[in-house]
Amino acid sequence: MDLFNGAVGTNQVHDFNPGIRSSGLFWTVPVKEGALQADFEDGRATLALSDFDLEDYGNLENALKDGPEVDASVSFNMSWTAKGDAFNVSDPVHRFAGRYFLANVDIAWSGMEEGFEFTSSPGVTNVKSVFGRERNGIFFSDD
Amino acid sequence: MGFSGSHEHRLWHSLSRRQFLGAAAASAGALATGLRIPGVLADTDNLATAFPVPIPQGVTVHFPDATSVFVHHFPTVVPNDGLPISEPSEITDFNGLVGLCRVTGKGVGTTGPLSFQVDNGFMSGLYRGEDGLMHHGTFAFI
Repeated sequence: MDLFNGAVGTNQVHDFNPGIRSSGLFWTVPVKEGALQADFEDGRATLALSDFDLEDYGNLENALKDGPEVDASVSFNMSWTAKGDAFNVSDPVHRFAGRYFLANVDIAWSGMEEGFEFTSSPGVTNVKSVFGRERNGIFFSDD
Repeated sequence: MGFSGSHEHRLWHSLSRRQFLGAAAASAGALATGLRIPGVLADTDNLATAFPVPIPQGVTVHFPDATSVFVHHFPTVVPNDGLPISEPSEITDFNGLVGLCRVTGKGVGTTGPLSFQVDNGFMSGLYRGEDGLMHHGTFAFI
């Protein structure tokens, strides 16, 4: 979750993420089952976390290089809403397949650390969002 | 790209605070299909008991200082018979629900107005853990 003092992509000042695991697992952490409410058939999903501990790396380069960081936390409530019909994807190169919706996502979030707080304003611009039902790796089948 | 020892320790410590080693195994068998069970049957406090394995593919990010880092995220799109999307999951050997987004917006920080970009997602279902065993769990990509 990135903050910029200016347009997105320029002069990044905060980069909130949970770190990269030694296995290479990228910014992915377990959350309580109840944090996610998803109904594929209904085309909706919500993910909500409150006061979730992570780190602020300042910018993307420092984050990817596992540079210095400070303790931080974020809270967010975000929702995926399907737009259009579901579509099938099968990618034998990367070995994943599934049925997906493109989606609109809305989010309200805040971040905080010692000496700094941020609260998002209503209204977001969707660049590209998707959700679906997937199988990959050993579960992949190109049938 | 891995953690330094102290950083990894800090992450584990952080997860410990959230009781990462909770008991989720009991639900694994019931979730063999990789689909979520109704909320009334799920223990909403459950946390996955093992970390998943990252997708093997990804992108190499190059920096101005001529260094680069391979990131297990967002591999190149391959043309397929549906709409072209990149692998949205961060974890491999996975069967379940996945979501990913990129949104931008604005807000107010202590220092004044700021712009944001959020690339968040989720994965919930059956997966192979680092221990080689199958588990069920819910993960956030933040």
